[in-house]
Amino acid sequence: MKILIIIPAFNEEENLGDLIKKIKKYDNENNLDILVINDQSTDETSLVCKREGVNVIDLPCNLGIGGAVQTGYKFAAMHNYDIAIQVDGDGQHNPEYIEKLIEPIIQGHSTMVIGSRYIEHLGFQSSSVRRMGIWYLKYLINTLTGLKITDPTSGYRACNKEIIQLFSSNYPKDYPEPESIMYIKRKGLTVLEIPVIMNERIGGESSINLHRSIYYMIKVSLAILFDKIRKESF
Amino acid sequence: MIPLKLQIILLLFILLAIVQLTRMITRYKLDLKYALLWILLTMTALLLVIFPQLLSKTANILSIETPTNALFLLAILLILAIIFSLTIALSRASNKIKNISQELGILRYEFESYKKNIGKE
Repeated sequence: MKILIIIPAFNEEENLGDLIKKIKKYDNENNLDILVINDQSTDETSLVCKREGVNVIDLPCNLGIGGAVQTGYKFAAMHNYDIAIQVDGDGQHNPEYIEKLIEPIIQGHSTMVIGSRYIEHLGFQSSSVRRMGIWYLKYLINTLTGLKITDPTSGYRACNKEIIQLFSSNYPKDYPEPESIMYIKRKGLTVLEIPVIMNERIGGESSINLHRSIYYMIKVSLAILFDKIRKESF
Repeated sequence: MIPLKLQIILLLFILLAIVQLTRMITRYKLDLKYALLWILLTMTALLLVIFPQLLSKTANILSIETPTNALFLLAILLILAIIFSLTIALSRASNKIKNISQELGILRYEFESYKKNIGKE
């Protein structure tokens, strides 16, 4: 079974080294391939990866999180990977959950598995403002699709081959996490959540700051609504 | 109606625009696809300058009091159409750039690892 870990990274030199070390320590049998997508970082993100001996794709233009992640899925599709795991480059995601994340996929219970902070409510729970936003998105997706996704913005996810193919041909652009759940549901595929514990980011900066969060909420809401009325064939 | 002098000046402007449009299209500087709306705009303007009474008629049909206002409405609608077509073109182009960037990033990576393997042998 070929498994690829996709790590989108934009200016994450402070966090990436630790993350890669953690993954390697976790994966001592070396079953996992790691691929960092460097989205035109201005710091030494690419160098850190090379120093750690990890494969890195340096994008020639800044594509944003959606475009960067999709590059990973395109790579996974090209190289015939069976499972792709998305891990944020900021170190919020603990590699120790990888096994739990891919288990339902290997057993064929689900096509996609999301790691959620809000099932057991342990570890870093994000700020209250963000929790409100996530809560709202949870209800929006729930009313529109009936899916119960407690952590729709979580970027800690694993996908099977079918979804790798789907994402490599079409993936939402700017803030893709909630929208991609709609997309998968529309395609008749299944999403499952498992509880994980996340960390607070140590260094660097989040891509969503306070004044961008209003834009984020409006854009994501509209994206979800538009996806609802989209036909299945798109 | 409209003074002859103004009519002639406007006519000159429009003819100049038509000449420029045609020149750019024939020299492949402007894609016909994107020029279509501009051609429509110049043709409408040409028609209205030669037959100004058309504008009064349009105003009448739309129950707009003065022909000038009908002209503004027409002009703004056409301009909006052009701007919208630009947004569509931009979306398409940015999608293509995204795909090319992804492909280029992957290819560059594959090329580097290929080079490394060649070096080892």
